[in-house]
Amino acid sequence: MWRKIFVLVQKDLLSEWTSKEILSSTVFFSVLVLMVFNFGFETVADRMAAGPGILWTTFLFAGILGMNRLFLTEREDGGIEGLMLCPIDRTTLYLAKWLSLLVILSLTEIATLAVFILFFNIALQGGLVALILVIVLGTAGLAALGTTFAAMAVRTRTREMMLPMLLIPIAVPLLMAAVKCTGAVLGGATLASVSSWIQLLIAFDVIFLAVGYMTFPTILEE
Amino acid sequence: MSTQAAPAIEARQVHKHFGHAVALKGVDFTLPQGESLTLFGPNGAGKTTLVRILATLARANSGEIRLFGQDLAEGGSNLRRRIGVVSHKSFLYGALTASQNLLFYARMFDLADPHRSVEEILERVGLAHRMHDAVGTFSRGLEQRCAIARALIHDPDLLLFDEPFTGLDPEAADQLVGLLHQLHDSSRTVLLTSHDLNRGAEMADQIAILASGRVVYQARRDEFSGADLASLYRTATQKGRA
Amino acid sequence: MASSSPPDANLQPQPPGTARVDRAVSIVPAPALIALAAVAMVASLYSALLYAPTDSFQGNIQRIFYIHMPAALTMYIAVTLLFFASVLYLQKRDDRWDEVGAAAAEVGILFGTVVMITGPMWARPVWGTWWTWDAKLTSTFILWLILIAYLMLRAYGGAPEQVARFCAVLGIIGFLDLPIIHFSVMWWRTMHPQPVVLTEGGLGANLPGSMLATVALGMLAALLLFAVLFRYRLRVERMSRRLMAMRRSLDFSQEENL
Repeated sequence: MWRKIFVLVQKDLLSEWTSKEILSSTVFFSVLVLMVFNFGFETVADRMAAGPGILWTTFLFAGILGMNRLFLTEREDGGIEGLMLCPIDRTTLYLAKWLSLLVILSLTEIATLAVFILFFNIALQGGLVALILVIVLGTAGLAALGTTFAAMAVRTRTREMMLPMLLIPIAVPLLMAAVKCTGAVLGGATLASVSSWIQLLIAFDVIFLAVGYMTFPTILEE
Repeated sequence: MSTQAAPAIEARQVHKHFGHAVALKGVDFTLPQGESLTLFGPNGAGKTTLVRILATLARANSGEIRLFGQDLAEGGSNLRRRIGVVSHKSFLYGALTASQNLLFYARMFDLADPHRSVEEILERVGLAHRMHDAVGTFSRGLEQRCAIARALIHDPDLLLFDEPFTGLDPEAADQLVGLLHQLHDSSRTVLLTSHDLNRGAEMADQIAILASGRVVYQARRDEFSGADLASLYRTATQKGRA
Repeated sequence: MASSSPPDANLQPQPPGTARVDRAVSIVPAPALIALAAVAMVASLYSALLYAPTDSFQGNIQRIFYIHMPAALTMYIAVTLLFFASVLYLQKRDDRWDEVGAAAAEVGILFGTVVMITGPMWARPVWGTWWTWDAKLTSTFILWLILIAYLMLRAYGGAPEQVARFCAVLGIIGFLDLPIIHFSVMWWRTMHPQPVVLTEGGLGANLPGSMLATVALGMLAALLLFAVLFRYRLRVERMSRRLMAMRRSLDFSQEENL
């Protein structure tokens, strides 16, 4: 099973690396969004206070773009159906898609983070590892829900418009937790100080990964 | 019934609907192993729906389907190893090269020597010279050849072709006919759908007509002539349209 | 080898598994249920407006509470019903559970809208703002949004078979999210009046008896109203499915006669 997941993720990443279709749009979009937020806040103090929120909002919007692109192209080339023809369980397929999405989102977010640090003049104070951990935990949850909902959305009449409607209300607690933890780290605190939020993040990831895993065959069915 | 003698496809009273629209209204047919069946029918008759169900991409609402004696719904992953599908969609990734695409599928099907299998199949379909080109740059004919390579690479026992002649220029169509002749041997079963009466029946052992969701005519190759077919088709499809 | 099943379950006699749902829906004949609900609503209104004592801090505006809270609780009950219907649908693939889900979501959203309207009406005179992002209001608002998303999926999800599956998945995800939303919103910040009914002192320890009675009556009225609306909505859904099945079989039999 893991071997096939590896082959699948490798194929997705190779495809993306060759075309750079998704990453180019999501990274550029993130930069634009950060710039807009920058103008939206008058004083430096405002910007600093809103920093974590701005970062995660940008991650969310760019992430939604990325998810839509990933699943929309699959639908057009018949890509995911090609996978359905292979001797692989549809639940395993979910894990593979989740991982591919996780990697692509993470790459986008690294670039976004760099621009964010630049625009907002953030001094990291040695909390980089903790920050990366928080970002990965948050992104894992977004990717788990995103894989489920994007697979549904591209099969509906409103297509990609459906994804944010489904994802955002459900992902609110994830965003809250991610923002609180990011704020703590950027402010120099330890992760232990926000342990309840970290636990919430982990619980969120585990629950929705499990639900996504179990319901993927149902979603792909016709 | 031993698996040796089991028909490649056995469909009984297959129903499929989408909301209030009924696509298949009780399809019945049997295709013995090693034979070739061409299924004709107008657009909207349900040919593509039937192929999708056989390919495990869709599920019938009711009825029974057995492939090589195994129930389709329960056969799962293992049955898929024995099926190869060529359809409107190529199931290929445009950003990757022909060789990368095929290598991917070779690995997904657990082939013993993926690289060699890829080389061999590319030779066979005549794409070796383009193996390092991105599939997105291929013409429709070449893309289809690559799709066929993809469908054949794991040496399936059952081949499903859904309207393979659509969009092909005469030269590409002739090449496809040649390939179909090659594939027509006793070790493989082929089901091909077409809405073009002139093409597709040349190498069939059986032909059938699907109209309005049902098989309205079925005969062995030697039981009819080309003219019969044309008038039969017209009658069958007119019935459906009334 | 089993014989092929009939093409259309909707036209056949109902399978035993869903008899319970049907019985629950029809257990009280419609006229009796409506009468009961009407009586309860009138009694509850009287109780809320006249019988219950005036709140010493907030004045008469506090009486909105007697509508606001029962409506909110009823919405949560509707979502719980939706969750169970979703799980059962995915397990048994019986359309009747999908119908229950659709009805529960729609009636639930109606009660949710009542909460969203009475909330600001109450907040403005008491807290000075129309809206505040405090724990309870935010949680309920998010749930309301999830129900709206559910209805969008129902409307635009595609073919009915697909919609049923997708909505069931969303129903499950939405419900499982509720406790997470609750905690996250609570830890974020709080301004809502502290729980007055379900407090540590036990159920209703802080409220004078007459207020508690009014709340209980309000809850009863809300539940009965929900039952009436749910029952009718379910009937409508069921009839529309039967209509669709009839159209299918009409299509089918037209072919037979040729």
